[in-house]
Amino acid sequence: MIRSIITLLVLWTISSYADEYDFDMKSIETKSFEYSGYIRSEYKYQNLNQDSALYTLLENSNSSQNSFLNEGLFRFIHYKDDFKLIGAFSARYNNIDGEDKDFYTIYQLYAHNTLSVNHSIDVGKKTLKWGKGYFFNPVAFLDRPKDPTQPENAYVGYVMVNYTYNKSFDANLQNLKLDLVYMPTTSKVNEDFYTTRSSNLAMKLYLLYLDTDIEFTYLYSDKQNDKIGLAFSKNLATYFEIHGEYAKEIDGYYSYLIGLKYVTHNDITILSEYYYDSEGLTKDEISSSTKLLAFSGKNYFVNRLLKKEPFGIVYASIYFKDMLNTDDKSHLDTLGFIYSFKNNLEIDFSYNLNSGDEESEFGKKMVSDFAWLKATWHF
Amino acid sequence: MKKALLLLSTLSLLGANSLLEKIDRNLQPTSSESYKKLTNIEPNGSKKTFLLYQAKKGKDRMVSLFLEPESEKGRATLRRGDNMWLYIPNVGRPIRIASMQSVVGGVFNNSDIMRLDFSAEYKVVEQKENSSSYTLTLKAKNSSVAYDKLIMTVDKKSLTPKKVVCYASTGMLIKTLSYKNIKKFAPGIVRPAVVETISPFYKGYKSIMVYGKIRPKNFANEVFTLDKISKVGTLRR
Repeated sequence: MIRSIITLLVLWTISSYADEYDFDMKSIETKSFEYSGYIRSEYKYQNLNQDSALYTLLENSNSSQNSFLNEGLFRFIHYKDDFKLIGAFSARYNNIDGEDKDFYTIYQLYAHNTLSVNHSIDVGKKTLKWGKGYFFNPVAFLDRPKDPTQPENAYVGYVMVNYTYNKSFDANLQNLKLDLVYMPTTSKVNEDFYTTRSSNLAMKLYLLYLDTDIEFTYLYSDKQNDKIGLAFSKNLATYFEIHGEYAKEIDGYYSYLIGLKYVTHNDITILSEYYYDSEGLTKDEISSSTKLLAFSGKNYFVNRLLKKEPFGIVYASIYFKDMLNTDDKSHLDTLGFIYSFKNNLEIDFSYNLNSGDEESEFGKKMVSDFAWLKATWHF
Repeated sequence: MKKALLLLSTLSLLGANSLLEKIDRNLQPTSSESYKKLTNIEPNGSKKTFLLYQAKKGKDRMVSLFLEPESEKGRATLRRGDNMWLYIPNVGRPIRIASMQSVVGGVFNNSDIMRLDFSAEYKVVEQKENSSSYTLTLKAKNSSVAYDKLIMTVDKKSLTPKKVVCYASTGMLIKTLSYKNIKKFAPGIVRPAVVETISPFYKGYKSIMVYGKIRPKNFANEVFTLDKISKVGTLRR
């Protein structure tokens, strides 16, 4: 009797773990066409700042605004021998207070060819993503400007030819990578980089030297001033990383950022960046402008604190972000909560508050504060 | 006499360190590829599963690619010694990460998933044995290693770990790994297929790592560079 009970108990224990111990070999089969992406719905409830100059331009006198955004993003890779075709497309539908708009975007579409272990070439529309900063990237000469409020969003690339030489070493210099980029513009191709015909050649030299990521960047243009840049990133300890960027336009502006990432003992990740742009608007210029481009000031100090698994809730995070214009002392503050469900659904809910003097960058925004819900289903 | 004892003790530890290297080789060839399934089991029985492809070369180079779940698909990590980077398809470029952070959440942290050879990170400071097993006390070679001390119980017959208990430098128990289900993966690769992990920091939680495939494979050094972190999928073909 006792033996039977023990046997049953052992069988029950084995069967309850059978799933976890199994390995489905079909799940690791390779396919020549792979895809992924997401469908995202966003809702913003925004309280309007009725003292804002922009508010007076509105055609209605509502005190709040509702906006919906639905987006589908589809990424794929098609493998064929040494070639790959890589693409990312999106379709978006916006509805702000009943006004509809839709957008269809090709983020990337390029062919990659591995010529040898050390040489490769990409041709087509591609996002380069140069630099080491999280919220700002002054050295990313051939990337579209980042939105510091959503730095992890996908960004639209430019049409280019990108040759890469990559070599690994067993020495203090552990890795060297050289990127050469040719990017033409016409009135129809890459026209938001330069509106008429131009030729642009860019170079990025990446070194992993003494455990430090170092990037030298250079942009030559036959129509615009040349630009040079330097970026670095290094772990001073496993829980402490520093990074920085410096960019200079010959006979023109310069900008830089310094930043750090620090993980505390109780697993709070602190990310801080200070950014300066010599051509950014001063406090007085911001004060006298009605319409401002986002983050067009001179000095910003951004801090984000993220705590994973708060109160022991696995797959959850809470975060607080403060984006400060250090000249006019105005802020955008965000307090948010992220949860990843097991069915590939992720929600991000945040409360966002613009504050500062009524003539300051964030104090004069038409939206005073807003609640923002994002639900993303990954496939 | 004292000198003779010191010499004997040193020789014994040298032997213990070569034993640790043998254990490493039994767990995984120097240059190899593998597939792992990670399952986080919560106290209420609900589960989240991750599927990873990994390529490894030498003692301290490794790349990983998440194949499942869909929310993580395409994420890749690169480890080169103490340097770790994470690539997220949307972000589009690698960012540096810390070994004690967790890409997947739950009991496993990054250094558990991107584990290098034990002998690359630890030295044996004490060895004991009985008729069926060795007990090795391992001390981290430097402060960048995730766990300061490991107590490893090794099966004498297969020369693979049965249990690894991980401690912080303060002496605090961080987690316990149990190795189970010895299986032949390829000629010369006979090792536990399952690693179960529990941690006092996650009461009632359990994480299970199951190896589906391990095979020797030679990779170019350039595979373990930032340029290739977004192209790990190519290695599987």
